[in-house]
Amino acid sequence: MSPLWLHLRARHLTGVTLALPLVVVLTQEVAQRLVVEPGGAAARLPVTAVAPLVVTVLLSLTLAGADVELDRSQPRLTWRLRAGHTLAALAVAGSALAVTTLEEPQVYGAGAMVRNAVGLFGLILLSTGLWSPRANWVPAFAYTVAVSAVAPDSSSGAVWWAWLIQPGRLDPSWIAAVALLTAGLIVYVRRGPSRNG
Amino acid sequence: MTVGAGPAVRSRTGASTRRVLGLELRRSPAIGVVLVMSVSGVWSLRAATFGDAGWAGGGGTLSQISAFMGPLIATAAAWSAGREGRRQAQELLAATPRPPAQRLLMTWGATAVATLTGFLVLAATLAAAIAPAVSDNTGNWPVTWILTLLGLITCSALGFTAGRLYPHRLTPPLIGVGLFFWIGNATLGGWIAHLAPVGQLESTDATRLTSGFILPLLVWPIAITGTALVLVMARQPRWAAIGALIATVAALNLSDYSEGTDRVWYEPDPKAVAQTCTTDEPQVCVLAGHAGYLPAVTPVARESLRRAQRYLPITRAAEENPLAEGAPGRPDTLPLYLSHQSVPFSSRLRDVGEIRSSAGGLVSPTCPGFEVHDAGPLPPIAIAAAAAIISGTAHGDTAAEMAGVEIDDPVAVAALHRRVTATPRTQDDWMHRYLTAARHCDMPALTRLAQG
Repeated sequence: MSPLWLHLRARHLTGVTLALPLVVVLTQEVAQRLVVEPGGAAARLPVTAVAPLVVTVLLSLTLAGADVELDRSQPRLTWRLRAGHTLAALAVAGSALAVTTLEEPQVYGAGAMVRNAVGLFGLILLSTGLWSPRANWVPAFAYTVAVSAVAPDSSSGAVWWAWLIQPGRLDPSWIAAVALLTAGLIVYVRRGPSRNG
Repeated sequence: MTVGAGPAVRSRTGASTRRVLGLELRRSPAIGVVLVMSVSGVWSLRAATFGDAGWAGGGGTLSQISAFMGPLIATAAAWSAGREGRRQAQELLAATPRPPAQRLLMTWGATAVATLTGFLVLAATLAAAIAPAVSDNTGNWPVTWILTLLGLITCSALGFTAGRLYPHRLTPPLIGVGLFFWIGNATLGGWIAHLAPVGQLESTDATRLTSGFILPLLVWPIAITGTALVLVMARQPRWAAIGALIATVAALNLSDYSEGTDRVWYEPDPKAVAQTCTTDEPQVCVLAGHAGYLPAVTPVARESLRRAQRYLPITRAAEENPLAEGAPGRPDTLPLYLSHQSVPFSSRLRDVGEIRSSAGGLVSPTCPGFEVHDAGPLPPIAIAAAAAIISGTAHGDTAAEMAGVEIDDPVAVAALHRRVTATPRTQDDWMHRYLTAARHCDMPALTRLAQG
């Protein structure tokens, strides 16, 4: 078996690859049901918050093998592998999510889906590198719950701290999400998964 | 054993229980749950549009916020429950002399204590926000508040059971997301809406749960919680079948109240919808549940009455019963709408202008089969102008909405502006011609009035 295949198999590639289309189909189904509700496309807010969370939580399984210490004992530097794998996973997941909500993409549609996948995955990468690969989904989950509870918040600062619940148009919410991804990528690619269980 | 040993043993057991519970509280996500519940819950109260100043409406708000807290609690409980499995410590713990139920009860208990604490913080904040304007304490609103707490406890039990049965690291987030969609489906009025543990009680002021609905609604979460806990804690999990049976009976009862059936799960609260009126003339009446608003509403309503009386034979102003919306009101009454007027931590009114614009609803043509949107481009301008004039031009936009008209076209806006800035004498003359045309739904006349 090639080292690349071993790397991917240890990171639940098969399970995640099977689960991802299922989540995408479910997302499309729910989004189409919501779009006929009185709010129209705006009623898709719960989907654009929760679907990226589910997908990035699935991707979180791929960020570390069963034994982090064993991973770290590899003789070769693996940062390129981590960077490539992370970006490829995000690209696939982001595109798959975006196609579920192409109708009115600026109103809680494809734009918000991609931004939220980017931001939440950034949070997951950060917690994988700094805290725990096993519980790396916790900050993203807690953030989603906390921010969804206060939605809709129209205060001026909300576009920064509540980027998850903003419509998909280009505004500072994108800066917040991309900043999180950048920070997460730097930490995860440089340090690898944390040693904490 | 001596006679005095009993209390001593109980005291030691109590101290041991407290120590283990304290340990669980520190080691589990309980403190995080309390923090997220308190901070985001209280913050969401700030952003929430309060229905009205009443305990029943407060119960609805609490239920709405709990729709987000339930999944969080279930996730935390699942994480705690899966700890033994994730750490592969089952065999080690099985070798200890204490029964597993004792240990598991403490683990779940920590989440339940966190849930209770978070709920109390939320409920206390909400109560403090509503209390200054509350004028009616009747009704069965405490049931709604208790049901919300029970629902949250049920979420913790469901999460705990899922985490115990499937101790995978993804079980906690997936149970949280699954619960979120279940609750979301219920709030959209989905299949057997009332089976969702939280978020399904759209309680509003001046309403109460029907008495036949309360018992199954209380039994359902208790039975589900019991079933879930017995399933993973009892030495004989088959006892869970009894809980499942009770839950099934409750669910069948609740399904009678789901969307599409003729049974209603809430009804007007007779005491809250009774009217409280001023003793002096012209009379202003509000619902008993809003009696606290009466001093603030009276001068505003009388001012609107004076303006409306120039054109219409009305003698009093009264708040509409929100549950009788659409029913024909008394012809001599200016309807008042006081929904969403509550200001948190205050007895003030949120938007006095909205009350002033209530008169807008009186000028819309009400002929059988007449629809404003089908009347062509010009009659709506006349209707909007009449609504603006009768309510005072500053409140014209809201008044036009009350009359069922939205004007976006710039030409139409200019025509409207011309009409509402005319001299009072011209306005009076125009209004009398408008009311005659509106009474007969005379579209050509309304078109001419819009142009004139």
